[in-house]
Amino acid sequence: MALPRRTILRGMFQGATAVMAVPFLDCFLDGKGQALAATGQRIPTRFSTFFYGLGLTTSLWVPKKAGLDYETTVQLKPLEPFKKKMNVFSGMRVMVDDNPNFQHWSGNAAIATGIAPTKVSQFDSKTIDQTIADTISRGTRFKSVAAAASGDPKHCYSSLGGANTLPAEPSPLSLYTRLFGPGFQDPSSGAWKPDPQVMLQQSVLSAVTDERKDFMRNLGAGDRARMDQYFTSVRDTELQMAAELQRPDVVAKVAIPAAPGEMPVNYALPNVRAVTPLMARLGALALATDQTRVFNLAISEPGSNIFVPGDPLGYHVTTHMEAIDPVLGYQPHVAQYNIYSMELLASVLQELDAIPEGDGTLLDHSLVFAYSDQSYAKIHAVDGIPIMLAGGASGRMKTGYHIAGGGNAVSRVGLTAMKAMGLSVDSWGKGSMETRNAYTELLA
Amino acid sequence: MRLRYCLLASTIVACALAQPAVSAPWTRGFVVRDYGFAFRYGGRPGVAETAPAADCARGSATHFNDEAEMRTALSRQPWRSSREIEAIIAPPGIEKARLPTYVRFYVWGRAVSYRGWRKGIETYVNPFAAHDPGQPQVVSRISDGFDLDGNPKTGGFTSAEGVRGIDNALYRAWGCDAPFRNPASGTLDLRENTQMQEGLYTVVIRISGNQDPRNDSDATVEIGYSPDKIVRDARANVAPDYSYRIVKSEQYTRLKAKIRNGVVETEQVDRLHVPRIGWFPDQMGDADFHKGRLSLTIAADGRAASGFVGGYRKWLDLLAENTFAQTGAEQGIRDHEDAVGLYYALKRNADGMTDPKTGHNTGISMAYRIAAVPAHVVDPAKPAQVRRLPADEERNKGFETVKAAMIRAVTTRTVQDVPLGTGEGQFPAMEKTIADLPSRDFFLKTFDAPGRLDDQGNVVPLAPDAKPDRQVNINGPATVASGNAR
Repeated sequence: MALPRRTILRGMFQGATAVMAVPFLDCFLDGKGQALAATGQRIPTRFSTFFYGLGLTTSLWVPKKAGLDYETTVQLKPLEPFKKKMNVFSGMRVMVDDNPNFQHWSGNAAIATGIAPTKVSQFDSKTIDQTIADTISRGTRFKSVAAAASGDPKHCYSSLGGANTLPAEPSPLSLYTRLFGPGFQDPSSGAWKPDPQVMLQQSVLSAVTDERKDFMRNLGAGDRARMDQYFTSVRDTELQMAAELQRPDVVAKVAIPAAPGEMPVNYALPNVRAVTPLMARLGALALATDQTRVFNLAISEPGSNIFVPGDPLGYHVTTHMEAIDPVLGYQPHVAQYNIYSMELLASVLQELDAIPEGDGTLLDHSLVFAYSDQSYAKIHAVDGIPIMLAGGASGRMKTGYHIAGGGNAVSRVGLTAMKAMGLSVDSWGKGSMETRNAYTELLA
Repeated sequence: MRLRYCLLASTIVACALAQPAVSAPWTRGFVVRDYGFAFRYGGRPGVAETAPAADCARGSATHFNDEAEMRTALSRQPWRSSREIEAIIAPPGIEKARLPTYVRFYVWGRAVSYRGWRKGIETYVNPFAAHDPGQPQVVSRISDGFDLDGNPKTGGFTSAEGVRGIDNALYRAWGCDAPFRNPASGTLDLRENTQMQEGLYTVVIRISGNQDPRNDSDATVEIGYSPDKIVRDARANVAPDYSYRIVKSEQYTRLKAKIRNGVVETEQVDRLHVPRIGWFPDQMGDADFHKGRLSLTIAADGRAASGFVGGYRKWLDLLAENTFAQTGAEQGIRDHEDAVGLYYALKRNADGMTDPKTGHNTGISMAYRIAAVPAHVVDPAKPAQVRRLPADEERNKGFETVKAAMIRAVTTRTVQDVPLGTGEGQFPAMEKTIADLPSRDFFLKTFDAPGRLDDQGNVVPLAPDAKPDRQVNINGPATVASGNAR
């Protein structure tokens, strides 16, 4: 019997309607299990970022051995289940060049853009997720989606440049509503049809398009550049609408659950622990159903205010106030908070790895870029700032390595990530961090 | 005859070896990679800055370290009720605030900012009007620095090389302060050097002469800012042999020096200007040593230099530069410093620059330690000045304003208001942070503040009748901390 590729199963889940796409059957795939047999199109590679604040405790996080088979350190222990599916970068540097080291900002912005920021709380270029989204998100409903696990929509480090960041969804419910609420049509549904409102808007834009040439002819160079920029954004919108007028491919075995209820979303660690995997699950579903191919999750702002109930200081203040234990040689409470961050990253990877897709899992077809704002937060240091890349990027990224950066620029990791994501890019970054030198040994 | 020639030749060779090879102009440059208070740490390497050691027998200062320390600090104000103290220690309803840790941070900050002998006196602008909380003093007899007064019987310290009479009273007064104790882990010691190496400022030294770089009786030493940021190598160490311009700004000094076996000793001058240490832009400026001198030991291969620059500095300047780096309360709650304790400790230990009118010592002996790597130090091809961002200028204005208020307060013993817009007194940061605290009204009603917020959230001055009386005279006995006492 010939099965339509988008056959879905319908049912009830905890009193709500649930839909399930059919398993991605082998008959849909080519002999290697990596591409759609009918079209030859590869399963898309998705990109995610995971931002956490306040870095690491060097002596507990950095493995002594570099390369494969490095030892699992105390602070990397929570990530041990994913050791073979990720790469760990230590000893990377943020080179601020002629700019100040903006506390809790320079590290974050430099890793996200390859450029040391010239102003606090501003990005000097598009962030890496948006650069990647420009290439991989064509044909999806959302160019990118962001979520903030401690409940502040400003906790998003995805930007087109400047002070503006793309707002994050501050709760699981708002994230669910955005992804699967009004406007969401199950791509596998037989009743799927283009949204008439989108069609109307598109026709308006098309009318504008017809007059572009005449209009541009009468403008000076400066205005023409401005209008070019404007029309580029119009074109992006058109592409976005065109995507919404086409049925997306659903390639994974997923069920869209009922909407999550209201729940406390704040800095209290138990709540962050409840919210983070839930947001990650919703993000994973969005990636799996091709609503978006870029998902950004921040568990806090730089200079994290996450706290364990009963701890009057919380994470950030502890990094500054806590003395180094004379016997241990590090700040014990800070070290424990560092571990919580790694546990939260593990919970995100778990959600991506739990979705079977083709010959592997969603994580295997993803690249997760995890990073922080500082290395040794006590003194706002950015030398040795930690970065991790998880997921196989559909086989383009070799995993299981510890890369001892030895003072190399953080932009090398970003360039490596972009190459793994299939971007045609020769160099990335600016100033001392401009690099053409990706970690090619990690690229398959 | 042949023997005579041989003897003559040997004599000529011997004479040649005994004299400098060639008397020719030479120059050596260095860029400073480590710059900080010359506080000699007495503990073992790897031991935390808080632990007891030979320098500080009871460990570092622990001001505001925990709830017990806070209770002690707040109990010194007789006007503060026990109810208020308990509310400060654990703000009611804090668990319902979105940022509970910051609520406590700012509530504690406001509380410690008002520890005057009566309500309404901001402590960090008016430290004389608060009781001395005590400050642990250094008990070690060994110190880095100089014998500034040429008297081996004063100073009370001996150098590690055995020089008696080292004058470093700042070390005695301040050396047990946690963030500056132990260069390997003291928060602010680490921070100032990290910030300097990441480009906050650059200090360069140029040494020149006409004889031999290792032995020159008529050398010249120049020290000052460079507008060029420190260059670091791939391992994040300060890279040697890069070029830096030296600017002849207010913080530039040219000194005569003698060099013997690679040890550079400058003349002692009445005014020696060098860049001061700091970790924020507003701390940049002139260290202005009186009776200042500099000593550097150059490695035999010329690839490193280390030493000290020191003299007497106005202790109120030192206090202001540290206290108002951010706010007095932030230095206190976050770094466990008490600027009031430091005020009294500096006053007790001041040992120079005696004011002829009052007889009080306005200066304190001290030194900065220096470690440097070789560099090409050159004069700028065209006029250059140290770079400062527009945002830094604003911040610097705030610093100068609050510093001036503090100095006016201390020297006239007249209570001064906190200049609004400086952030001092945690205002309006506290008001904004506790906006969702259920007990917000209690704190707004109970706490003193430098100003108030109107309905639109704008900062407005206090009404005149809300201000405290002007004249304050508190000559009561201070808690004199000496030796191990705190």
